[in-house]
Amino acid sequence: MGQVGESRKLQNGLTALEKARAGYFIAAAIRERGTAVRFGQIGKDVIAYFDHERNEIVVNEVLRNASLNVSVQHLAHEGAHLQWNRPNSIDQEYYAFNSEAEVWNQLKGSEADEQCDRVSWMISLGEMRAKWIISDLYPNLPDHA
Amino acid sequence: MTKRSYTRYQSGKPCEYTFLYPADWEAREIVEDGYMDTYIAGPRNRAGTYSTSFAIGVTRATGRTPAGAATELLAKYRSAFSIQEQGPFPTIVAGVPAVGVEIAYWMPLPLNSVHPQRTVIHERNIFFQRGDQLYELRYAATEEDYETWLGAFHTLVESFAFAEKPTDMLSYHPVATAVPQPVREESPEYEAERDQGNE
Repeated sequence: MGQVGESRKLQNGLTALEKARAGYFIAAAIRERGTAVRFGQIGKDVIAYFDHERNEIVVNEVLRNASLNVSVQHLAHEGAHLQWNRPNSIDQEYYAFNSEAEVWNQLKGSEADEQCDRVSWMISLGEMRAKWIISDLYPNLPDHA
Repeated sequence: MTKRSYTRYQSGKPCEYTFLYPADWEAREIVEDGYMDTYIAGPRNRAGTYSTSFAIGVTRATGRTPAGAATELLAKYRSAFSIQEQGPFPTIVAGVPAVGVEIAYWMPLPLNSVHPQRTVIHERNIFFQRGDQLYELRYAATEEDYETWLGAFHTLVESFAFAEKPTDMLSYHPVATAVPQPVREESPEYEAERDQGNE
């Protein structure tokens, strides 16, 4: 897939996010702020991140061949961080994972993905338990910020 | 056997519970709309992807029973994973009948990595009810760390206690008492103490 094809894939992802009930406002925030969305090299094997300074969401280039639904889910997570626009916290991660799960549940159909399905399961446990798991994963984050 | 030092935790209102936890772990309390919890972070696993932890959660029971909550939790795990499970088994917390379940499952960790490792997590969850509140005690650790801290979780469970009875559990029983005999006491010291006692 060339650069144009990659870019088109993420733009299609953004459109799909916009059409998903749970993703509409996240996609709107990405568009309103003129945030760039691209595939790129990311250290430490991270799936994706939102760079406040560069105003861009970078999805790990390893995922260039992932399905559109999986790409949309990562856009939902990072777009939720963009929407929040504050230092990270357990609350914010919960919101980002919750957005990701809602979008995934709406779009996945019969598709399965280990990480997306785990996130969806984690959120299904309810806010209190989901935040316990998020705290197990990110123990240094404050509850609120 | 490793000797551990413990710190006593005292929660805030309205639940006011207390328990012992490892002294070098970090506890924090959260009161959100609909629940109150205490989360205690322990050490990371060797891969640095997961923290051993204890948690205490309090929600309104609203018709749920401890046995029902345990069964509901197991069903949620079964729906997503091929899990290993034990229970529900009966136990006691703070003198109250409780129900426990133990679950083992795997997570792809780190969750935000393109190359996650399947990591086995063990959880022990204990449910009990007090008044109209449903309590959940949770111990979670990776498989490699689970046995190391299980004793500390037993200490938490055994030391778990409440400061006072919840208001909806208060009851009044008539108690036969002797008719008090009037006693005259002139001591000013006695008066001062009695005043303090009425504050």
